[in-house]
Amino acid sequence: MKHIKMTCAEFDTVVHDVARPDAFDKPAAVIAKFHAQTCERCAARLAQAQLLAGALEAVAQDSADLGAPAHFEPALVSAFREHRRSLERKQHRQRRTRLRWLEWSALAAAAVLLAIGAWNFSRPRVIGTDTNPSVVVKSPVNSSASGAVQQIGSVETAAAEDSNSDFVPVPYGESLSSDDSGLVVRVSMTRSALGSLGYPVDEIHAGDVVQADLLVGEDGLPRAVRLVQ
Amino acid sequence: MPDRTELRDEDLLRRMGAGDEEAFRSFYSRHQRPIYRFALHMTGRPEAAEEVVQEAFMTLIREISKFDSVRGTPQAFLFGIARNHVRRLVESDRRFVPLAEDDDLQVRAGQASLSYGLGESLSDDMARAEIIERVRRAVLALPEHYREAVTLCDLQGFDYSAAAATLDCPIGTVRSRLARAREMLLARLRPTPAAITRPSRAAGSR
Repeated sequence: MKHIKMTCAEFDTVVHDVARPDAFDKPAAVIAKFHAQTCERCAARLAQAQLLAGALEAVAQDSADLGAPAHFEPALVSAFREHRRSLERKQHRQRRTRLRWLEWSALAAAAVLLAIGAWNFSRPRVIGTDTNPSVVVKSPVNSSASGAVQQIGSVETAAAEDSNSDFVPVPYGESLSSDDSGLVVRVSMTRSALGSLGYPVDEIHAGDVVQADLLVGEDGLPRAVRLVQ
Repeated sequence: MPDRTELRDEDLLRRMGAGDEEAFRSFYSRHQRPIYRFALHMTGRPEAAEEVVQEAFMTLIREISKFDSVRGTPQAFLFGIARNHVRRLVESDRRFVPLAEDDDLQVRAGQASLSYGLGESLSDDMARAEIIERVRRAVLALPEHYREAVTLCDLQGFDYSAAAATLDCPIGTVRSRLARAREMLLARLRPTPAAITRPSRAAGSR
């Protein structure tokens, strides 16, 4: 059997753990106790440590049942309850503040969008590379038929007979109201832009610049478009 | 509904964070005695121990959201709070429980000394009470770091790992403090040769 020796210095480092076997791993305790059996000095140290461990255990047992007074529990439970309520009130206040902020933000954003939209649609549009100003003809439009343009007035720079295509209503447009005389605006634009207004275009020539007449209401929004040929 | 007495501390804390009053009751019931005993052994005063229990649980109520299971157990978290309150109390009180160095106590200690038949003395109620009181005073006389180690490991039954988590220090530090504390206790409790040779007085006389 192989003897594992322990020095007195090593024994001193573990003597208190050996005195309390539950706090020390068993093989090391066996080695230490074996050393104590062969060393009078370490045997005395172990005895002292065991006495101390016993005395400390007695102190622990003597106070095992001690605790806070019984009335502490209901008082602390009450404090717990009150703290929870104050947290809920605080969270409720924070939620209301957040909602109010969201409401104001949404209103502000809607106001900004409306302003941008109104400004955008109120501008006369010139599309395309034509440097000549578009001709705006104020000509009365017979809008007796809803959504239909029946008669177009003459155009100063281009004869009406040049426009041999019919007006095509824009997809999102509303009909002219009966008291809206409407305007015909001649613009230069690419065929692809014409397509965005709902006019059928040939994809191959989408980049070509063409002239088109826009029927625009008093609100500045186009109602219909036709190709000037 | 699981019996709350069977729930782990982590589950109780989580429920407490959600406002579960019964979870708080269970947690309090489970931990108030160890906290009280820890504070009593550290301060030596029952009223101080009561104050620590109250303050520790009030702090827990307010700061429960600060508990992080990665950093330690709920028990270590609570003991850490209690430890801070104990330190403040000890600092403000600056009380010192002197170890009686007078000859009378030394002589009585000689009758029930650690060097002479402690096992028999512990079985004798009167002598046992004296030894317990003497050891308690010796623990109170230890410097704070050593007192904490002895209180947690020898009086509260913490293992090295739990004590290290509570004290927020390495396990090796706990072991060395504990070894040193026990040596100091032995030195304080061992009767002097002069005391041993004096004629002994009746046990219990003060």
